[in-house]
Formats: sequence, C-alpha cells, structure tokens
Amino acid sequence: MNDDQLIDQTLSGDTDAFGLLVRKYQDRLCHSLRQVLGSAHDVEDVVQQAFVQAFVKLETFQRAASFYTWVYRIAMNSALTLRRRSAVRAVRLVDADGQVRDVADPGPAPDGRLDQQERAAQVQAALATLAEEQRVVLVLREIDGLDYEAIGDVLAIPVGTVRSRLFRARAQFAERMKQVLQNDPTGSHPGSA
Amino acid sequence: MTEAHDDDRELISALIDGELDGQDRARAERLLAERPELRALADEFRALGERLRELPQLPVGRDLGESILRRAEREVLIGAAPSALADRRPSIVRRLAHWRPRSLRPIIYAGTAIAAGLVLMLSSETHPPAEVQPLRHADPATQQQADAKIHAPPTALAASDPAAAKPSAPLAAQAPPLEAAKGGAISNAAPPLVMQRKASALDQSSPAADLTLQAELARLGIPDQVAELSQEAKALADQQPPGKLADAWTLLVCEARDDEQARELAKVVASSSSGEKAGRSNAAQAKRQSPSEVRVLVASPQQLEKLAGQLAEHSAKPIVEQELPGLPTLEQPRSPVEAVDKLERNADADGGARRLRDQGEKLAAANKASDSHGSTTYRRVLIVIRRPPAEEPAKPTQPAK
Repeated sequence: MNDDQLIDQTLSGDTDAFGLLVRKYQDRLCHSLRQVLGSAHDVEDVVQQAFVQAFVKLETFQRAASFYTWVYRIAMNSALTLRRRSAVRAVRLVDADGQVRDVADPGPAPDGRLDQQERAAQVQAALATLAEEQRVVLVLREIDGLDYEAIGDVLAIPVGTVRSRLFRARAQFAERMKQVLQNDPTGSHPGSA
Repeated sequence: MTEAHDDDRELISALIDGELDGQDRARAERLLAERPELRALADEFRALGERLRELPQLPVGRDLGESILRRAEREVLIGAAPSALADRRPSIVRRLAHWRPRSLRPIIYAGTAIAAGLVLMLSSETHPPAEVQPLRHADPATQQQADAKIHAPPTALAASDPAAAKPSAPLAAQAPPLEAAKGGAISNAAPPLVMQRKASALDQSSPAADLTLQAELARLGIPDQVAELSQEAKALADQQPPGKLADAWTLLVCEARDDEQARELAKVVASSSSGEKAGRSNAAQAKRQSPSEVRVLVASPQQLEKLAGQLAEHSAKPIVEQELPGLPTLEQPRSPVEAVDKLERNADADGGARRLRDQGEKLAAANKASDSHGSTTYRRVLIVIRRPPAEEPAKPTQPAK
C-alpha cells in the first residue's frame, strides 16, 4: 500500500494506517535528524512531534511533494526551532590532538584500530562543524537522497539555491574532513576522502 | 579561487547528483574530460557522499505510532493545535475516535477529566474574581455541607488506600492499573503540565466543539455521560444572559512540586482569568462580588480517574471537596517557568500574562534555591475553581464622586 493510500485511509478514520506511515519513516527520519542536530538528544521527541503535526494537519497536505518530504519539513522546522531555543549544542568535539570526543565516545579502541564507530564519529565531527544550512542540505542530499526539488520543498528555497548551497557544503565538508583525518594518529584510512 | 572556477565546480557538484541536462550537462561532461582537477573533485565529492551514507543508522527500536497518536490526541484535546485548525478539529477527533491505545495510560484519565472539565468551563469567561480558599473549609459546618454535596461514587474518591478503590466502571473496562510510580511510563504518557481549555475555545454555539466533546467521550466509551454533560452545560450557559454570571467549574490538571506551589498556581489562574478582565480590576468591585472557591487537590492518577468518572457521572454538580491521600510521585523534572509559560499561553491577554510571568520567575527562583540538582519531584494536582452561582446580575457601581 503506497503513501497516498495510507493517507486516504487515515483521513477516513483508519488510524492504523497512519501508524504504518510512522513505522515506514520513523527510523529514516530519526537518522537524518541526528546528523542535522549533531546529537541524538531530543531527536525522537522532534520526530514524534513532527508526526503529530502531520497527523493533525493531514487534511492540508496537498501531495505535491512526497509525504516524507512534507514530514521532513515539519520535523526540520521543529528541530531548528528547538536548536535555536536550546543552549545545548552538539557535544562532539575535536580535541587539539584531533581525537573526536563526545559523550558516547569512549575514545580510540584499545588496539588503536579505526573501527566503524570511530569512522562515523569522524564524519559526524566534521559535519557538526558546518554551518547549519550547509549541514542540513548535505544531509538531505547524501543521507536522505532527496533530489534538488524535494530539498527545495523541505527548506523552502529555490532549486538554484539548493545547488549552490550544496556545492558550498560539500567543499566545506571536504575541508573539515581533511582536518579531522590529518589529525588522526592512525594515519590514512581506507575510504578516506 | 575565481568565481568562474567555482561555477565550474558547482556544475560538477550538480552533475554527480544527476541534476543537469541539456547544455549544462554537456558542458559539465566536457569540463570533466578536459580538467583533471575537476575529475578529482567529482571523485572527492562522491567519496564524501559515501562516508555520509555509511553512517550507522540506529533504529528507534520501538514503534512510535502509538505515542504519536496519543500526543496528537492530547494536542487536540487541550487545544494546543493551532487555532487555524479549529474548524477541522472535529474531523481530527473523528479520526482519533477510532483509535484505541494498546495500553491506556494516564492520558485517558486526564482526558476524561478534561472532557468533563471542558463542559464545566463553558461560561467561565464571565466569572467574577476568585479567591483562593484553603484546601479544606475552615468552617466545619461549611465543610460538612460541602461533603454532603458529594455524590459518593461506587468507591470513595478519597479512599485512603488507593489500591483498594475500584475505578469507575466505564474506565475500568478499558484501563489497566497505572504504573504510577514508574517514571518512564508516566513521563511518556503524563498529561501536559497544565490542561486548561479556555471557555472561548469551547464556544457552546459551535457544533465543532460539541462534536469534539462527544467524539472524545465516545472514544472513552461513555457517550451518554458526555452528551448529558454537554447538554447540561449548554443549558446552563443558555440560561445566562450576556454579562451575567454563570455557575461553573474550572478544572485544571497540572503538575506542581508540592501543595504550596499548586496553590500558587491556582491563585495565578484564578486571578488571571477573572480579576483583571473586562474592566473588573477594580478592587472594590471585586470584593463586592461573591468570591469563588479555589481548591487544590493533590491527586494520584487513580484518583484522577475516579474524579473523572464522578464528573462524568454527576456532571456539573459540586463533587470535589476532598483531600486525596496516598500520593505517588512523578520523577519528572520540570521547570515551574515552563509550567507558568503554559499557563501564560492560556491566560488572558489583559494583564494575566504579565502576572503569570512574574509568578513564574518567583517560582523558578524558589525552585532553584531549594533544588541544587535542578531536578524536582513533581506530582500531579488537580485544581478545581468553583464559581458562584448567578444569584444577581453584576451591576456596575457608580464611581465615588
């Protein structure tokens, strides 16, 4: 059953259909927003609130964009509002010696091997240093796989702006990744950018 | 780096996204063929994309659907949804009316209380100023009289042993025992800090509001009661000509650190919703009018459930007069400022907001002083504000010359 059918069923009173939409997209949305917010903190709450708003406003959904894009836009607005309201920022830090630290990061593995978790922490550290608008557009494109038009829908910006902003985000991200990797004591790594 | 160079790089960025066609695409492909540094750039951008897509996706680990629908229900019930959605509220509620949570938790009980409370608040816009009364009547005779008004439920509201008390039948059929002392369960399903619905949001002339109430009660399985409540409240409101006072109750469910804080909240609510309204800020006039009663009941979720059942069963008759013992606590750190912020949103624009803000700051300061860890145990309280009957029209007094 596709999204349109689930929406129709929800509007006709079948709330379970909306539950299916939630299940379909909750993990994807949480994952994406974690990268945008730079922290897992509050993400689930933001996602829940986004779906709540989607449910309440479902009759206003024009279906010009996909349901996911629409929910994402709601969630993004909530996330950015939360972020502005809260003094809490991303807790990940890159130490002077280049080690990536965050509250969940115990530091390098005992054997010094760069495992997947560390690689992810490096990427997230570099991502967290980007300006918000660059981080968001990069996540929408690379993690969510949205095309420029959908990104424009989410962010309410023209496609041309998406294109230029994404380019700048990539260039900036490349620079930040280089800084992180240069400071990494284990040297070069497979798949390094 | 020249601007033209950046344009070329941007073109390459768009090319790897498959966002070019026609002349732009042909130009980008030509650039790639001619300029090795742009080929390297394209490779770098692709590799970065791979790194981002490799980030481990941590599943939520549970189905958010139920809690989302519960939150949606709560927003609709307390009117937190944007006012622009007011016209659609009936349809939203109709959708929710088909939903049954797998495990009914406090929101159900609170929702019932609210549904009953909403009806009783229909005419609160025209209420006189309220005075905060002690939790119990100072005068034993008055207390006895009030107690006599209590319509005893199948099990006493004030049962000293909550475990021994049975919930009212309609709810008991649906609701499992509450996990009152389990912070996690409560924090996920606890009612909002303050559940207050302004009378203006429940215009008795609005079929939408009526439908909302009926749908909510239907969802709770007690449609008869809500219909009765709704009719009684409407009749009550209809009997009151514009400008006259009506008898009504305001019922708030909120969380407070202790009884004292709850009373403070009650004072703020009572004063902000009446004393400064519509030119009635004159102290002499306020004194002349019959005071209302404001009582603060500290209630466990089970007790709230019983109260809700009573309200549903006995509609607008005065039934709340008891201090409720055996309080479970909710380990749910909350800022009093947040509590008052929510009150503020519900407060009247004319002075109420400012008073609430001041009150919030005081409460925050008190909380900070007494709670160095920033975490406070809050418990749910029920604040009942009873308005005096409309015995006489409120004639404006001539100002002293």
